[in-house]
Amino acid sequence: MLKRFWLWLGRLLGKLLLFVLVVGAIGWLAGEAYYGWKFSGPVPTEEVIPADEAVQTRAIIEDAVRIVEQHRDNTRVLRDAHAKAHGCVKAEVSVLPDLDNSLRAGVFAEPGKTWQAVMRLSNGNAFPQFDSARDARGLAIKLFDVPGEKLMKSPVHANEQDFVMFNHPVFFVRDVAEYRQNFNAQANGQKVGAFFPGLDPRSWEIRHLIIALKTLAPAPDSPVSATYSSISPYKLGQANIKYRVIPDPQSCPPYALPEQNTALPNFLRNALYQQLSLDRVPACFAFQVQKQNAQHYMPIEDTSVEWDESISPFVTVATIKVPAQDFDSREQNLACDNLSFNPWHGLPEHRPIGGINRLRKAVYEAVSAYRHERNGASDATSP
Amino acid sequence: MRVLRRVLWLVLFLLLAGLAVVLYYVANPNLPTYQAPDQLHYLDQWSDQERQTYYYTPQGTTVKGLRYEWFTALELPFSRDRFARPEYLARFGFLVDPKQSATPQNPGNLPVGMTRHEDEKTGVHYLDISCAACHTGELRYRGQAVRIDGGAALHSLASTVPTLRGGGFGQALGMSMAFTYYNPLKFSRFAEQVLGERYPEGKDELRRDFKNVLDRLLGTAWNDTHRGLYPTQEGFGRTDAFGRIANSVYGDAISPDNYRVADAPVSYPHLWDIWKFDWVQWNASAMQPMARNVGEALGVGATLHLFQPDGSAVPEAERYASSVRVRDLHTLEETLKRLAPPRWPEEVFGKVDMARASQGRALFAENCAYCHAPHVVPADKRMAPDRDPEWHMRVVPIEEIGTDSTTADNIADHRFDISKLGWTREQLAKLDVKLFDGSLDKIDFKRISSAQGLAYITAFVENQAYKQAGISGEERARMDGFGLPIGVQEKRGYKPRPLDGIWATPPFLHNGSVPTLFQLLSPVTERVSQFHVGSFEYDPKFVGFQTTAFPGSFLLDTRIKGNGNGGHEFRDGCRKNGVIGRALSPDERLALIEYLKVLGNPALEGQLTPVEPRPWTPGPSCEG
Repeated sequence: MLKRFWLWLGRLLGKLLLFVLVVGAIGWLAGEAYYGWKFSGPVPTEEVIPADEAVQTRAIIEDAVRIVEQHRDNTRVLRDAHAKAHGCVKAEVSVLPDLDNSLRAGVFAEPGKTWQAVMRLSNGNAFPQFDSARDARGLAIKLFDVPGEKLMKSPVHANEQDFVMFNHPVFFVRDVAEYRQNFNAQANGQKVGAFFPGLDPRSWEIRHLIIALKTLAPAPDSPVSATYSSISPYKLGQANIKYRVIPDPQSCPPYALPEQNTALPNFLRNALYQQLSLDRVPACFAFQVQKQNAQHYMPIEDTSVEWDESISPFVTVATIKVPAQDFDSREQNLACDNLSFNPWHGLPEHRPIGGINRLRKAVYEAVSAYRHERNGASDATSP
Repeated sequence: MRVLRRVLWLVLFLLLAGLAVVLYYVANPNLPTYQAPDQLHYLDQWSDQERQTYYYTPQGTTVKGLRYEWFTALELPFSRDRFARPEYLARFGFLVDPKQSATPQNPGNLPVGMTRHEDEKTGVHYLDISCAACHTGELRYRGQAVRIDGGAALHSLASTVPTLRGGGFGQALGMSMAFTYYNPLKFSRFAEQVLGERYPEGKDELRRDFKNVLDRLLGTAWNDTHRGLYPTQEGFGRTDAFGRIANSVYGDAISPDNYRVADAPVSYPHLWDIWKFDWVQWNASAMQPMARNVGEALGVGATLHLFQPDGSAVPEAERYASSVRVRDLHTLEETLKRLAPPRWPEEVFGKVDMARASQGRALFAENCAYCHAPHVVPADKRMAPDRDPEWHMRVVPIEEIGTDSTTADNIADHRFDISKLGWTREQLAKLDVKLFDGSLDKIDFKRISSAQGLAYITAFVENQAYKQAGISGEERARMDGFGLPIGVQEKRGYKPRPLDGIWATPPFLHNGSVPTLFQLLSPVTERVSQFHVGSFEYDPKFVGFQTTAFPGSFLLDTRIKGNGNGGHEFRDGCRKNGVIGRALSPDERLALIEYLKVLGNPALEGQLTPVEPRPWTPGPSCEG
């Protein structure tokens, strides 16, 4: 009696498992087929600007200012994203001496040239929180004394070239319209709900939700041990590219970071301080670019799609050295907070392209100006 | 019955296993390996002849009566290799020159500071541990060795408390002697080596004498262990000098009731400039050079005859007879007067960054000079008018400097019963002792302080030693050092020193609790609370020894009593509880370190560019 029941239960479980596996496989195959069809080339090499982008942008600026106000520190207005810095450090960006001709453009035009720069390392959140909280981590680089006409006319940033990145290869929204909807929902405190705007399943952004969950990841051991990607595409001379910055420990003296106490709120800053200021060991990165191959699905207007590295690999164009230094004084940290980074601070050869980049121009400018005025600070150019 | 038998077997097995472990560590004590350097550099601190004089002039100490030729003939417990080979003794941290060979001054080809003296009555040669053994340092960098004459040793000589894994010199010596004594084959080889012509007639006598020394050595180990006298392990490069001197003079020589726990190890201080100081010792308690040196010799193991073997008093004429050698101590003191501080060897450790050092000089003037710059006093203000220059240093009270107070507290608080010596005040009043704190009528012979008791004992020992040597009057005054009396002051504080050559004397603070100069200039939160000691590998960037673990290293835990690494702190906030200055940014700390590399080196100091120092600020008020 008991034996028969036992065997029946085993059969039932076995069948159930098989059924789930089959359904799963069918779903997976269907997904692969759908995205294989949807994400197939060729793609345009030019920008495609939707008609209502200006309207959307204005709405996003309003939400951004609202977020900035809601997330104020009680003495200062912070950024609407990447509010908490681990530090601003001096860096040297050196163009590869034997850089391939096809990659020489803008600040990479002259092989062997070394630019003085500042790097801001940050957490993604609009409010300073414990570094152990799941979050994106940001890296912004500003090159100084860059000659030439710039994309933006502000005299303050007339000699700068910025590169702005975070530590995930893709963004969790595709374009300005989705950004507006998602950002607005987030400004109202929704998190997962922001990816489910309506009851219609066709409006659900499950793939983007997965990207968002992957982006909000536990902290790296140190801000200088992560890889940071541009996410959105840029010009490099005539070419369309994405860029990234990856750690390059081989170019630096060997260094093993002592175990940090990750229960502390600012252990990423501690790690940076330990390496650069106390142990006096420099950190090294490589600056790499990935060219668009328009025969394949490497879209300009969708930042949630990764450009396939097996088709178009990343190529190093410059090395970055962060020398041993002191960066953690009150004055330096304040100056760091008063910096403003914008992918549009720069040369036409590095022109940002794509919807998200077009959006950033207006939003970054607006939030920066708002912040500086509210904090009674001038727009600083160097830490 | 069967159960009982099994239990017995088990007990036997456990005993054998325990014995096997002990024997394993006797054969393989926990010692660093020795790697000879590619080249050994001397820094021209004095002439070769002066160096040899300093290295191998005896001062009258013995190692429990161990004879020189015994020491050189000893074998390792489980091999025929000699114990006193330079490359083996180097593993304990003693200093050897790869090129050294036996000389008339050093017939046994022993490391720096291991020498011998002859007992005038018996003609026996004793192994004699001299100043150089503890006050000579070495730094290693990329296969090069740099000898620091008068620097700080990094050996484990002082430790008398055995540990399971071994690693102390005394323990290894005791094991070699024990295995020599109890292994007849080994002993025959040893006797043949020692006696030469007189073998085998003298073998029985040798065996008796040898056993006496071995018993004393093991007796000391047992005494110090079961009384728990040294709970804070000293490790490499440290010893509780005052505690050990007190335990040997008041405990061993007078009464077991006088043993005190000595849990305040100190680093060996460096010796350049000392003759210029008004007061010496970490706590600035001693004044007369000869008295300080006699006290040190008594602590290191000079014999002292206070009582007959049956406990009765020694006749006046013989009392306080010791093995202390005043002429040799005077020679050593005079030789040390000619010792120059080491100069930063750029050819080994790399160039000094002059721009940075210039900044450092301004920072030094702002933050350090108040305590660390010597006050050169005019002739009329000197304690010894003939001493030129004479440097007066401040003594910084414990509550101000905030560094580990165990050393100062032990010296200030320990009291000893010396009534057995039968002193009278009239007797003491005749001695050349000058009390700067307290007075003779207030002294209680049942509760005398360490420094005062030692001052009177050394006075008696000096008198007796000078009498034996036939020295008096002018000559004696000169040998005492500038005719100074035996001064005693008892302050609960530490004496800052001028910082010329400080880069050559890691680890830092009196108790060696901070491994690098960089950490010394950092807030306490940025200092390591545990680090490994025993490596000679130097770190020119942060200026200190490497602190990573390696086989045979000693883990210094600053949370143990006596090892505290607080105080002498530069951080923001009010200047209290050991905070003595404003926070220095890491760049400023490095600039200061760069300056300390050239301080006291006129050739390099001359190349600095003037930088205007910031004014010193007292910091915010602590009273709200």
